Amino acid sequence: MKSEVQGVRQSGRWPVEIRPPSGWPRLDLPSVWRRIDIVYILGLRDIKVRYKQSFAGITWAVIQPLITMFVFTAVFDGVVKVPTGGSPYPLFALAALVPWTYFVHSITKATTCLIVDQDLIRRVYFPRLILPISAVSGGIVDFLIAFSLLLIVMPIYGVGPSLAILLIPAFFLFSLMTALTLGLWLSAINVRYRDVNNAIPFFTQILMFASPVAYPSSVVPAQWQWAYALNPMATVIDGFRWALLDGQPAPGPSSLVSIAVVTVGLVGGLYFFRWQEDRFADVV
Amino acid sequence: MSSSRAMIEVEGLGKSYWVGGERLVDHMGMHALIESALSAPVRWLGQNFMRRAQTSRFPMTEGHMKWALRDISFEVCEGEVLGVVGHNGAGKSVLLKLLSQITRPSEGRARIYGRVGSMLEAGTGFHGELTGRENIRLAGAILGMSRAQIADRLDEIVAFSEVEEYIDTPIKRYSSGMIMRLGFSVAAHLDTDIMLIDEVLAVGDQRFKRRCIEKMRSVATSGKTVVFVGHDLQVLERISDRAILIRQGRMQMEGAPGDVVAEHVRWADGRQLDD
Repeated sequence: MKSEVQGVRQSGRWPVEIRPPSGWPRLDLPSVWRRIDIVYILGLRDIKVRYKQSFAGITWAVIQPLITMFVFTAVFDGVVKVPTGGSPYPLFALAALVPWTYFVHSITKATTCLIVDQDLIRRVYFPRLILPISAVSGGIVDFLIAFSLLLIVMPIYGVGPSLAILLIPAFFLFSLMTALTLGLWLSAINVRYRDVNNAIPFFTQILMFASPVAYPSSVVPAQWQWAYALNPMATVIDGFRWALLDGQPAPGPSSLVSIAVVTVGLVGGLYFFRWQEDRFADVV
Repeated sequence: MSSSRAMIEVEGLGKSYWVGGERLVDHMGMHALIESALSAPVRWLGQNFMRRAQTSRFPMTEGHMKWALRDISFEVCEGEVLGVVGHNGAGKSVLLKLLSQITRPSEGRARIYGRVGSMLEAGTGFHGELTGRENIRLAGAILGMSRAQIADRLDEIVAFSEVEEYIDTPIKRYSSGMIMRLGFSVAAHLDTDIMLIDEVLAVGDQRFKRRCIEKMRSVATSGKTVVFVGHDLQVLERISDRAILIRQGRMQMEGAPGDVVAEHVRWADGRQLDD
């Protein structure tokens, strides 16, 4: 026991220094990694709790994108006639709705995670980054279920997967990063200003119109594609459509803009979160 | 003398809070800002013409810095049990929160050489919709147990909590006593080098409370380094090797548990006479 204590101490993990916050915050991601099992256990908790005392249970993961698909098809195919580049509209919409549903769910959860779990923040220490990370990870199960639905619907329209489907995990990971980026900023601000709570449903709704969920991104003029790509979800959705459907264009060079936005936003968000973190227990 | 190695070093530790009113305009929110602007003339009148008004209807919103804890210095050596004595609001809980890293100090520093487990509040991390068993896994992980440790101790934890029969029932159906017993039981089975224990964690009816105290005693005598915040002075005197007295956020005394408790009691009696 004692040798273990010495050993770890030599590895530089101890002593734990407790001092007033000062200067540039340290990210200290290894400390998050050491407690990564909390991410798993909190994710599990959220999934269990969400579907307890629920009749439809986990099928809700399918119901939401499916119903939205029907509504979108009725409006944007039946009434407005949105061009889809040759793909059947229901599939065209569903390929976007599956990642979009995950994204909206994740940022909503991530934004409120510090408020929902304020009891934990006030009563026990663990790296607070765990909470938003867990919030965006919990939706993976729902995403996988909704994605299976997509794989079932595809053959119905005579669309078979191509090799490009192997890139889906990369596009999904990118949507997770995007959700985490927004979650880091918004959750930390939400601790002090609950306005964020009120703004989120409104914000996601507006963001949906700024994303190619109901329409193809090709309707945006070429000289404005770079500005459109400031919204990383545009690249995610284009990626999903390209990887799953025939004849959809691959994400263009403007996706570099998306990657830059997420990279800068994520690193900035991590530092912002760590900087604010010291005050969470006192302010929340 | 390797056993006298310091496990906790605290130097000039202090924590201040801002109380009464808001420090910055942007902390106030729009409501408070508008209200304060609208009430300003009334406050001005009140201040100048009606002495009473300012303290009742429109209190001044200027806050001030309040030290919840200041100039705290001590060491705890390996295997030692340090008792912390003080009245409600003296700053004992703030000290435990600082040492467990829940909140950061405003000044001073502390060094901790080992893994810290906190037995501060029962039921931390519990969720009403989950069963007793699921909650043990959840709270155990949050408090710092590995999955293997939780699996090892699950039966022990269940047995100690005396809720075996309901362990697969959602805890929202439990009585509050059952939830507290389960909460204590999880925290009591933490196994870290350093334990921070708040005696308020001893919960339930007289019998279970005695069992809690007994459990805390066995943790304290098992060779772990312990900081023990006590309210029952007899228990504290028995458990601790050394004690400190905190009064209004300041360290008043450090010494043998008996002397510290005696000083605390003397002061408390004196204060009652003053009243």
